[in-house]
Parts: sequence; structure tokens; C-alpha cells
Amino acid sequence: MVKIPVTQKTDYEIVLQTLENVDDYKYLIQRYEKKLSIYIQRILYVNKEDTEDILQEVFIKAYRNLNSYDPKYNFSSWIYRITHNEAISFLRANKKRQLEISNDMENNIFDTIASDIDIEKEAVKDWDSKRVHDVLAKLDSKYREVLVLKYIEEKDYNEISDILQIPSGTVGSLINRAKDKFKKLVK
Amino acid sequence: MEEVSKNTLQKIEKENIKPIPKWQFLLKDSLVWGLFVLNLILGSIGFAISLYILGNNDVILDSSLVNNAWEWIILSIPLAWILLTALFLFIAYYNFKHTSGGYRYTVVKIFLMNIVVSVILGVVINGIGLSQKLNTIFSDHIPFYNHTMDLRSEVWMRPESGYLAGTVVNIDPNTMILQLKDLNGKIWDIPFENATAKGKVVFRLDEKIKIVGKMVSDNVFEAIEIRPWAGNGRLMQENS
Repeated sequence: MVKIPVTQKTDYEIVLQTLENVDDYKYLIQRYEKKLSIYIQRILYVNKEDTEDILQEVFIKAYRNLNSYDPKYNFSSWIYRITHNEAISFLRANKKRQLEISNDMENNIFDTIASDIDIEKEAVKDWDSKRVHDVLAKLDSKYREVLVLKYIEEKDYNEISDILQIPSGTVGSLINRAKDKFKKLVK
Repeated sequence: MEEVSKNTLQKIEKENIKPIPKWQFLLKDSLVWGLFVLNLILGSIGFAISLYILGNNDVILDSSLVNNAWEWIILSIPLAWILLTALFLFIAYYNFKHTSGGYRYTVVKIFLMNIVVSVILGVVINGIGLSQKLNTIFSDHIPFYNHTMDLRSEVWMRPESGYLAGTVVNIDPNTMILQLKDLNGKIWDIPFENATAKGKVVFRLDEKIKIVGKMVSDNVFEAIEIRPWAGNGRLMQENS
């Protein structure tokens, strides 16, 4: 029998493998750690150490709840959902903490939002990434997160709906509100 | 990033972390769905009984039973059952929202769906007469039910105003006096020699009736008109 390389296996196949053998969990971790780490930094503006702590908690929670994963849905949305919940918990636990805007983050990741609003001929023409970055930091976390998911993570409405656990119609209005808030801050 | 993978697996091993068994998730899901269905059924029953009480409420068609518009509103709308129905539907909504895909639906969609199902089921339950049976069971077994949930009790437990209801416990055809156990359990002597019967009223023991008349003394109420407990004004008017 020909053995399929792990890289070609679906997330669900690796989930099933992990339930048989915990060591196979590393393949799932390796597949998602970078994406989730960037996602955490984009929505929380935390340093590398905090990111890794949150990420570890995400993977532990995901492992504990692996049997609740429903293959009807995207594994990606499922693990992003857990990450979102962990991010909310982190924010609650660190309410008083100011967001520290670190320059070691990739500034170009914020270009997308600026350009999207730019395309709509709004007030952010010629803004550089750092300024978009600063404006995003001032946004309420729920608006920042939805903008990050839509324009940076490039998730579609259904995926965002599954991650944030809100109806997809609400995703649309949340994005519009977030864009309005963004524009107001720019002005 | 290699560290995250390594540390996570080490922590899993060190703390002997295991995935929560599938049956626990299935049990939780089943409970949430079960509670949703249960509350939807309770909401439908609530709606059916509201329909039944509304359909059997004399006040709606016979405003002479009340003194003013406010009393008419209070005594004609089965508010307690409507509130209870709304509560069941809210709990159903809450449970549906917590099912695995419940978040995909808006509040309006879930409530509309619950209301449509409850109305359809409620009409069926009322149509097959189950609401009347359930109302009687509640009335017989739940303390204070008559005064809080079934408006007819409020309308027909005003002997000073000339309205009395209860169950026939004795009939003496010689003296033309029947004994009535009112909705509070008090026994009354009811002279009915000059009374007229309205609607499909049957004179027999254990029959629940409504009487229009005059309070003569503390335990004597002279009947002028005797009506069946179930049935609305329209039926009475048609039969009178």
C-alpha cells in the first residue's frame, strides 16, 4: 500500500491520526502555528513571548476538544475560532494593558486594508503601512479582528461567520461598521 | 516556532492531557437539542392553551360582565399564558443558538421559525382538544392555577357582583337546590328554581358550571342563568 505523505493529507485525516497517536499532532501544529501566530499578533499586538504562550494554550485546547471537531466545517475555521476565544480571554485578563505597537511586525500586512479603502476613494490615499497599523491599533478589538480576517487573512464571509460564530449577514455589517470607524479615525 | 510544537507536545505528555471523549460532546449536543425541542413543544402548548382560554372567554363577547375597558383588557387577554409562551420560546431560542450551527441564524430568523412552529403546533393541539384537557388537568392539580392562568376564574369568582363558578357536588330535585364547590373549594347552596340554562349545560354531579345570579347570604347564591364551564358567548347566544 502506498503511504500518503503527511503534507498531502487533509486536516481531518491528521485529526483522526492524532486521536490514535498524539505524536502526529505535531503535523497539525506545524501546519497552523505560523498562520495563527501572525493572526494573534495582528489582532492583539502582543510580543513574541505572549504570542507563543497564547498559541500553546490554543493547541492544548484544540487537542482537548479534538473530538468535538465536526468535519462538516473547515478545520481552519475551527482552530481560528479557538484562537479567537483565547485572544478574547487574553484581552479580558489584560484589560488595563496598553497595546504596544511593535515595529518588528510585518508592516506590509496592513497595506491591504488601506488599499481597499483607497480603492473606494476614501481619505487614506498615500498612507503608509505604519499609519494604517497605528489606526488599526486604536480600533475596538472586534472591528480590528473582522478587518484582519477579511483583508489580511483573506477569509470569506462564511469562514468569518464560523470563526466569530455570528451570522454571515452580521459579518457584512460588522465589516462595514469597522471600515466606517477606520475612516473616521483616519480623518 | 519549532518551540511551540515541541513545548505543546511536552505539556500534553507531562500533564497527561487527553482529548475529551466524543460521547461527552454528543451528550451535550443532545441535551441542547432536547431542551430546544422541549421548549418549542411547551411554547406550542402555551400558545394552544392561550387560544383555548381566549376562545372560551365570555368577556370578549359579553362586555356586560365587566365594568370598564381596563377590566375588559385584563380579563380577556390570557397574559400569564402569553408570557409563559414567550418565556418558553426565549429558552428555545437560547438553546438553538447554542447548537453547533445555531450561530449562523439571526435572532429574528430563529424567533420567526420558533413562532411559526409554535403557532402551527398550537393550532393543531387546540384543534384536537388537547389544550382543554391540559387546562383542566392544570386547573385540578396546580395550586393557584385558576387565579393566575385561567381568566375565567377571575371573571366567574365574583359572587358579590353576581358571578360564580364551580363544580356541582349535589343536586336536590325536590328543593331545586344544588350544591356547588366553587373554584376556591367553598361550598354554596344554589337555588335554581327560577334559573334558565344557557348553552350546552348539563345538570349532573361533577359538572363544572358558571352561574349568573345574586348572592343572598354568605353561602347562598340564587341562580338566574346557568352556563357550561366550556364554551364562549357566541355559543351561548346562539343557543339562547
